[in-house]
Amino acid sequence: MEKQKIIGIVDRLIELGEDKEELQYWLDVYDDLSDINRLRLAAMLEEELVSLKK
Amino acid sequence: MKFSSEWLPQELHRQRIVDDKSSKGELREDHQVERSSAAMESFRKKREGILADEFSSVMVSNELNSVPFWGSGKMALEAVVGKSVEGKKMTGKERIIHAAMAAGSLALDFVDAKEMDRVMIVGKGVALMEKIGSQLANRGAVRGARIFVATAEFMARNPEITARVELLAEEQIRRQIKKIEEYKKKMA
Repeated sequence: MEKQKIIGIVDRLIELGEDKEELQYWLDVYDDLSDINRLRLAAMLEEELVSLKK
Repeated sequence: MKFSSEWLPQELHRQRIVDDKSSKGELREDHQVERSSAAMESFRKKREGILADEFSSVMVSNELNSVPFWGSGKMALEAVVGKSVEGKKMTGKERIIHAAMAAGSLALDFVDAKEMDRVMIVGKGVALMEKIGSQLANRGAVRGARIFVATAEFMARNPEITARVELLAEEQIRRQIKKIEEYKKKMA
């Protein structure tokens, strides 16, 4: 998933009450994670957004 | 005498409807907040798992978990992280630091139970992360090094949380070491 899309998801999660500083950490390390963990993180953030929007 | 709404004065009846709607609305809102909070907690746990996995993979592949005492470092780390998952609720920031401390314990320079009397990670977390980051950089594992350095910076920005989590992680690591020692004695 593109980094820009992840940033958009993170912004929405922060609006929905997630911790800004925690998610900023994840954005900071995102590019350095292994491919598999980058995919896992992206999928998880997206899944959380869907879950919180319900 | 049982009052039905038909017998109530009109104003009082109207008020009851408003109160009823309002309390149901609040209940719905409370329920939603509770559900969101539970969902966030569950996703924070999962993120801690990703971080623990990343840390341990980087350390194992760069041979930074060469502590014979731990045996399989990755398993020990998972055991420590698992404890937090079963136990108390932790914020997302606490979970990042907790995963870092569990990973950091793999690089600790202790070889037997005598070391149990020594403080292992309390007050040393940031330095430990920086040290691992620097060792990774020396081995050419630049991406891994950057994650540890970013984590050290994150911990330095949150000293109170770091101190609290260091204490918790140290207790968990000691318990885990004790278990391993007991297991070794049994097997001897």
